[in-house]
Amino acid sequence: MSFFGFETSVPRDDKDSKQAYAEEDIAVYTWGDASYDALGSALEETGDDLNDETFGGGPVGKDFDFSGATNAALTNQPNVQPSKPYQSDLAPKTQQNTSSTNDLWKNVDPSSAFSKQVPTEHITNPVHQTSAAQRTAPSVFAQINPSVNPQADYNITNLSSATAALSLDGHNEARPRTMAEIEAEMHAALREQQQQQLISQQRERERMQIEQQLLMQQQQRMMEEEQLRMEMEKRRLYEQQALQDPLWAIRQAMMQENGMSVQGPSDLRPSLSANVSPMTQNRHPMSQIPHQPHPPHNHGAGNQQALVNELLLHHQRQQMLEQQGHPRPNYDISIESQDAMAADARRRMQEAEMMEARHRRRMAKIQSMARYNDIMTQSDKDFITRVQVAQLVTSDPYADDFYAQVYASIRQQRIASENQVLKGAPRQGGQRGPHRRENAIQRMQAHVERIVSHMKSREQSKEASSHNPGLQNVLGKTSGRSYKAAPRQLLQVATASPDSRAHHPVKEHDSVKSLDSHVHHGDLPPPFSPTEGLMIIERLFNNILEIEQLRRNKPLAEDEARMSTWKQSLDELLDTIWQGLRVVGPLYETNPHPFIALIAPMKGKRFIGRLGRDLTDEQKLMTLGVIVNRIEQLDVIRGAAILDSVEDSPARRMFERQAGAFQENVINQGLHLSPSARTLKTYTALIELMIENLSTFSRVVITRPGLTLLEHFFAEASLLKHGLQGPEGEHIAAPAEDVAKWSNLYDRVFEHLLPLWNIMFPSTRILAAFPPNSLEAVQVSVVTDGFDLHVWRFLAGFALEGTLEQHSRLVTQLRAKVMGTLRMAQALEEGKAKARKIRNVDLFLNALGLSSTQILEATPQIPI
Amino acid sequence: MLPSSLLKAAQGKPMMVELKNGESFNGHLIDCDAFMNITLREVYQTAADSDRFWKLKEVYIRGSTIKYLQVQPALLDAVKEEQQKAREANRGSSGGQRGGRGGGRGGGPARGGRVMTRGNRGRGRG
Repeated sequence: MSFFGFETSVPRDDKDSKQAYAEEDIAVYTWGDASYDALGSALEETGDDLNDETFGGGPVGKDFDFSGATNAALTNQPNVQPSKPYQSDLAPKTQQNTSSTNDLWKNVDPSSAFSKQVPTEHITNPVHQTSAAQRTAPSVFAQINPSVNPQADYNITNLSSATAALSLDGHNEARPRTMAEIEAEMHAALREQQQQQLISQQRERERMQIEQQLLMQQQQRMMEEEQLRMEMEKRRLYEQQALQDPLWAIRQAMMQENGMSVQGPSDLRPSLSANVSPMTQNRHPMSQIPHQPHPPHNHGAGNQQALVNELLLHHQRQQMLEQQGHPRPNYDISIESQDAMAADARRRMQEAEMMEARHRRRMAKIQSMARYNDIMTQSDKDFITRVQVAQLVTSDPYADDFYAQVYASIRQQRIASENQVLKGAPRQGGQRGPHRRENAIQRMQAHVERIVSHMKSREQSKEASSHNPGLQNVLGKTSGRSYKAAPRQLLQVATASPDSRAHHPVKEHDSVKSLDSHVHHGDLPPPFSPTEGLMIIERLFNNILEIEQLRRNKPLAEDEARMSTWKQSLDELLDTIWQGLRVVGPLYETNPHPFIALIAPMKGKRFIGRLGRDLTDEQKLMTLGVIVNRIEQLDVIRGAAILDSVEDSPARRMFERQAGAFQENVINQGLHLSPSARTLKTYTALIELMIENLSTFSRVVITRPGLTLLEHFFAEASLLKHGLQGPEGEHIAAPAEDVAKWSNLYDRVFEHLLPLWNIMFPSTRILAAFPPNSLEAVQVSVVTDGFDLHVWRFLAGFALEGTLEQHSRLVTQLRAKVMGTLRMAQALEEGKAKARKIRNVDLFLNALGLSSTQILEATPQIPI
Repeated sequence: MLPSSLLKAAQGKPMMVELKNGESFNGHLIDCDAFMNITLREVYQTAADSDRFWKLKEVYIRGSTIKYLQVQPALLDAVKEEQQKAREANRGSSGGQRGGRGGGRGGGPARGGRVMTRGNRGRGRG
């Protein structure tokens, strides 16, 4: 009952009355008593169901003390301070409020329902409603008296204050009364209360109706105002005020005309309730804006209502906007867009909530599932993976694969048979391809195996070191690659130790390791790869250096003991070298012969050269025999075709060097026989060996190195045949049978060589490519003359040993060659080329006792 | 921790073993070895079709036939705890060292000593 400002308790003494009446007991009214005159049943008591809820029972705060505020406003109390919206102490105002409420009740002025806008900052807090009401109070009266109106910003969202004002039905100026006066009045009024309560209730209802009407009017007004504003597009508050001020009277008239006629009270109620709710919401201005007007409420004539509702909401929004700091309402934003924005915001919030809920549920699920994660760390997993991979990796994946083995063997047989069928004699590079591939595969396998074994050994070392846990990492963590001298090798090359190879010659023979294609000719693989060969040579060089060192340290002959040890070590070294040369050995049959392979590199040839005084004659002879026997395997023989090339190229030059080194180092120095072994017999045997295989001999003799070798033997032999000169000057003749043998041999060789002479000349071979007797041929021949030299020389030496008959046959054979050369010499101008040509020919002719000059003079122009 | 360490830690605990042929064994683990051969006691064996059951006092299962073993969550909790503790201890003792050491090899209870460090060594560089 204090809602209406009534003193709800029985009047007490003055001192008690000073208290806030909120603490006093609510008076007990015996409405339902027997003494009651049952007039209550005649009351139109509806809508009171929620009274308790609405009004509450307990102590009543000042929150909704609109009457108090109005009272204060009425009396223009100093508590009305425009600059301070927050009035904490409202107690002193209550008396004034209550005193004025009576006046309020007495005076109902619909016109005072005009709610002037108030600075909306105050509406932010329900606590401040009172102050707002107070604030509006002056404006309430200002409406009546426009001159009093201090400010009139047209924010009509201050409906709460309006409501308060309306609920109080406005009031004219009334003096605030003290509590005592009120009590006195109450005393008087109490007597009549029971009779008057009915009336008061009726009045209440009337008030409510009027209130609703006024509210509706207010809404209409708001709407019109809204329309006006939108029409006029006014931004300035004062302008709007000025405009509206004079319109108030007009509007009042309009309202009063329209207010009652529009709708009946029954319609007002639901619509009002709809509007009240926005207004209640307004009391909580920061609460949700979105409370759409209730379309169902807008029947028929409710279009206006709907519009009003919308306007209400719109104003509320604006109010909130302003509360949030906007200086003015933005009337440019249309209602529709704002609605859309509100709806959008609402939707987004809902979505956000849903997403959050979903997210939380998901995280909970994951967490429950992942409770036992990370028992195994990533390094544990890597460790296991490594172990498993190491188990999978094997050096030879086909080792235990039966079908792969069978397939490989079948393929091997097929290829081997193909090679034999297609490439009968030469058999060069038959197994080059598959060998290379297999080698590559094997090398990769070895690489992987090395990695795996390295990892395993590391694991084992970690195992071993883990036995003493106390001393682990005592010196800090030393593991890790950074401490190693070299960075991690991207590719690990196999370090094939030649020692192992030397000790496993049989294995070498079986394993296919060499990639050197040019060594492969025939079916059998080479005994060792070129690299291995070089390694062997290196070791032999070490031996020879040791020997030479030993020789320098040769002890005195008197020192028997040391001499014997010295001798012993020397012999050992020599034996090592001899074994290392592999002139004889189990790999005798390989292609090439291991010794031949050894002297293929330049270094090998040079090495042999150093062996001149270390090998025994027997060994040397054996070596020579091997060379001759396997002469076609010699690199200088096999590759001699390059000497036929006119073009100068690095390969050719290299070959020249090799050939020279062969003759010089190997034959002349290394295998230089001591005088005792240098017998006619020896050379005869050697030459015999050379011509043993005629086809081979033919091929060999065409090559320069081969011919040079033959020439060497031949020269030695012929020298010996003619007899040496002894130290005292006597003639040491060769044994007779040897000479005879030699003659036989010579004849045989002669016969063999006769058809070969012409092609023996490199120039012949080379110039065959050019048209004969052409200018180009002549030019090329200038170069090839140098090539021919050795042939002319040998020819000369050979011819010397021949008989006349053989001479004539030689001449016949070589006639064309000689003449051709001379002809070309004639064509040339005087110079070195010409002279060389003539010189070459003279070598031969002089051996026969002829001379080129004879021919040249005889035939000035040698016919073609 | 490694699976073998976990198995060692589960000695004496009840577990379920499923074999590659579908049979399952529920029992307490007596012992295990590096090949995951295990012996169980008080075993309930279930056929692959889940239609027949046997109760056996002791059972020896060859490791190569095992599909998986299932242990109790309590054991996992205990293991996790130990790992944490070991990690703390590791972090405390080897504060200056870089993270590569990867603490938390703890796993496995008392017998862990050698097992853990072996793991440590093996993964020292992480």
